[in-house]
Amino acid sequence: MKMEDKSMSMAEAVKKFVKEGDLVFLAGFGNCMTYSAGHELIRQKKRKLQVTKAAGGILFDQLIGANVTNHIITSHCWNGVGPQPAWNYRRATEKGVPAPLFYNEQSLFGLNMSYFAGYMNIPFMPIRSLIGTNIFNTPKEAGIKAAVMKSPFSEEEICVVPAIKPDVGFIHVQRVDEEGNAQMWGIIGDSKFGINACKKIIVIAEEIVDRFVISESPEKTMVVGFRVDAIVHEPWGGHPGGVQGFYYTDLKYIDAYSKETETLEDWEKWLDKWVLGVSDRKEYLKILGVERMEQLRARSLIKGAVNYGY
Amino acid sequence: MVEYCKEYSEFEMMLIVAAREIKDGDVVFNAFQWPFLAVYMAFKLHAPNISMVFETGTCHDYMDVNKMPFSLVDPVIPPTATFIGDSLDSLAFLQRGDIDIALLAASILDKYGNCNTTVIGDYNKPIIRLPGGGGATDIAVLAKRIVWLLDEHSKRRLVNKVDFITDLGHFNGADSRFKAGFTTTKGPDAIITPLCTLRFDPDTKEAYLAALHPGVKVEQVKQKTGWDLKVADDVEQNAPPTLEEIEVCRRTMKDAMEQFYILKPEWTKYIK
Repeated sequence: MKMEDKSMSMAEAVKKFVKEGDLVFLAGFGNCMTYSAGHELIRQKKRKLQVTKAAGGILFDQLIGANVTNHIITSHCWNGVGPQPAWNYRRATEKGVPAPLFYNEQSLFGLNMSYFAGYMNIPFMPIRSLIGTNIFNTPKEAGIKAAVMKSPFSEEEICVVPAIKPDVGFIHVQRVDEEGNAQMWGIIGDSKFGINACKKIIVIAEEIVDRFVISESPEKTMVVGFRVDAIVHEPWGGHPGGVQGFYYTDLKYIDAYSKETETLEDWEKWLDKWVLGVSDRKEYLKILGVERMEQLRARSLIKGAVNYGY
Repeated sequence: MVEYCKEYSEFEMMLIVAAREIKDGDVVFNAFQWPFLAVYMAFKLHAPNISMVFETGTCHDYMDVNKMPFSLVDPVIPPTATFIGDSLDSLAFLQRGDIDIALLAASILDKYGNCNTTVIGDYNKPIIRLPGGGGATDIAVLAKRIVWLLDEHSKRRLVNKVDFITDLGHFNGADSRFKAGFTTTKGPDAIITPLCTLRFDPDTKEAYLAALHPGVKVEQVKQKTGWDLKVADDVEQNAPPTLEEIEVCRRTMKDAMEQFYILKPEWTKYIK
């Protein structure tokens, strides 16, 4: 069943679906990161976005440095390779450069449960952590981040966290059909519940495939077609993160990133080279070069075919 | 007869002592950075039957990888998994009480084993803003046993009281953690540093010096600790690395460096 053509370029998708002040979810937990979406948010000079994902990493670092966001909702923001500092994050939190950053710090569990509550369309979810920590109620300006309530069914007291329902979410996947049935494999992390909590959903994919390919392994579908608003075909959109079965994480690039962005001047050069100086992902890949792409390209390791017969 | 290694770095000793905390058959929550290396070493050395749970949502009973994962999200990990779910699945195992032990890398710890991974200095005017707790905030209160790894034994990393509790340890000591509602997990069991093992007094829940690494003096540890550290009447000596332990440790560290782990030169000076 095909009602409308959802395919568009990244530039069109960002222009059409992201408005100033929106809360934006960016899926990917190392695997299938939404770097190409982040870079387009920067190029279109989106401002005052709130952004959320379980681990912000250098994607959030770039959005902070480019002043796209001054409000992050996450549990961790650092460079995972090394590990080493995310310098834009530190400049913003420590010196207010380029703008003071509001960090609504969460725990991994709290945030995942908030996405789950958003997905389920219920106001909150209980969890057995957070009590006793300062994350529970800091910063004050974030309002009621968590609360303790008595179970209606026992004498037990339990912590609850509120639902998060992002205005718009981006997810990068290995393959999608033209309706938007989006399949991801490898590490999932917060991607499935995070993206399904979003009001509008944009799928970015390495490959556009026929409908019958999707139903060969429907358990890999993270987002079902009827929930999807736009489809962007963007091979290598997850670089420098890895995409299982397509390319390995570009460790050299991510390691160099921290060294190349430690000062404000160097960050501006980096931003110009990799984001502002290119018009889209295709041009980005020209700078990355075919040689590097071939080094990163995943070898073939085909796994799993089961009998779905009845 | 077991043969021991004579020359090794303090960091290697820390990893090896941490690996010894893992018992064969444990269900281990496998965390980012040094804990990952220590668990990997335990698996190779004395604990081939552990189950590993990652915060990314994968589970493993074996780790057959041709390169060291650069982190928990490395694409080399999923092809050997026995289970791939969402982060919420791994967190469910934690919350259900299925996890026997978690090693966690600490930034700043206080005498009750509370950890600050949020900020150095005033919260509103930070000297250094740290990354945030990630999953450690949840793991610290939901795994049955917690062992902290601290890669520097100093007054700035072991303080009397943390400015900000990112990950709850024994809270304000004594039964305060229990009273806060954490009745089914024990909280921090040890802090392993490059110099020694600290454990927690069963009544006061204050960390005390329980065991020294070879060649380290009690006074040296006391001078580098940010509170008046109590010392066990019978301080134990941690055995030096066996030849087997040091070999696995160095191979692990070497593999890690190839995958861009940042290891200080003084930690790796014996690695050829």
